[in-house]
Amino acid sequence: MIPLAWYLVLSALLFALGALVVMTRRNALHLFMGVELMLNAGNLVLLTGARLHGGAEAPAAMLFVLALAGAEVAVGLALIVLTHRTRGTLDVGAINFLRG
Amino acid sequence: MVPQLLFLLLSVIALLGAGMLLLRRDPIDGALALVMTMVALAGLYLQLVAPVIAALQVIVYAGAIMVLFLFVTMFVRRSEEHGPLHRNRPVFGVALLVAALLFGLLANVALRADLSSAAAAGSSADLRAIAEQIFSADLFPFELVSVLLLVAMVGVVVLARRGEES
Repeated sequence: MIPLAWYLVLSALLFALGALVVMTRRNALHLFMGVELMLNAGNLVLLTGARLHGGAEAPAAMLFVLALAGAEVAVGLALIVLTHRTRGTLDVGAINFLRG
Repeated sequence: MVPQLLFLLLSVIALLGAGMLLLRRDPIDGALALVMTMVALAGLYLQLVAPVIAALQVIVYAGAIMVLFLFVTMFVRRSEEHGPLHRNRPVFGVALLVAALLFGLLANVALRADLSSAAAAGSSADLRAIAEQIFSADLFPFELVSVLLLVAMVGVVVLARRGEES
């Protein structure tokens, strides 16, 4: 029997690493992958909760997160392709066309 | 003993993938590292809850979403070969500090939480129970998700067309 706290600590570590990727990398693609990593860490917490309490609520919530991640990635990657076409770069420091 | 070793192995693989995502320059490497992380997480889900969820993790995350990432990466990769990997040094230092604080906070919560009822409720949810949950209690969110997916689809088509015109 593995202590459930291990799963939560692993999830915290993955979440912190994902946040670090989002905060430091310059490439917009890496930013999105960091967000995906954070979503996965959240899913791990949900499923640890499912193991703790039983029932189907947490797996169902995890499936909703899965669908939301799919929608987010589709729109985000379309924006990335568009930005690359019009600006020629994905450096988040150089993308500033919303600046007034 | 074996489950603990398996947990350690899978979590080391997952963390390795996350570390590679942070440190490797090429987005292709990052995407493949993330696939590795997600497959390792699927193994953990298998250990934790249900084979259904683990299969969906592999199919949807490691399969669909990361393949989409790989396609787009292959479209746009070449423009990012120069320049520093991370933002400048002060930003990196502050970000490292913030991430460490975040981890400390979350791990603190995890280690203080009362997880003692685990043995009682250990039964895992099968596909039937999950389907009943989604199509009865969670029916409204389910419909909202379908609308969201439709909106996302329309949005992506609009964005792609706009790229063609300019």
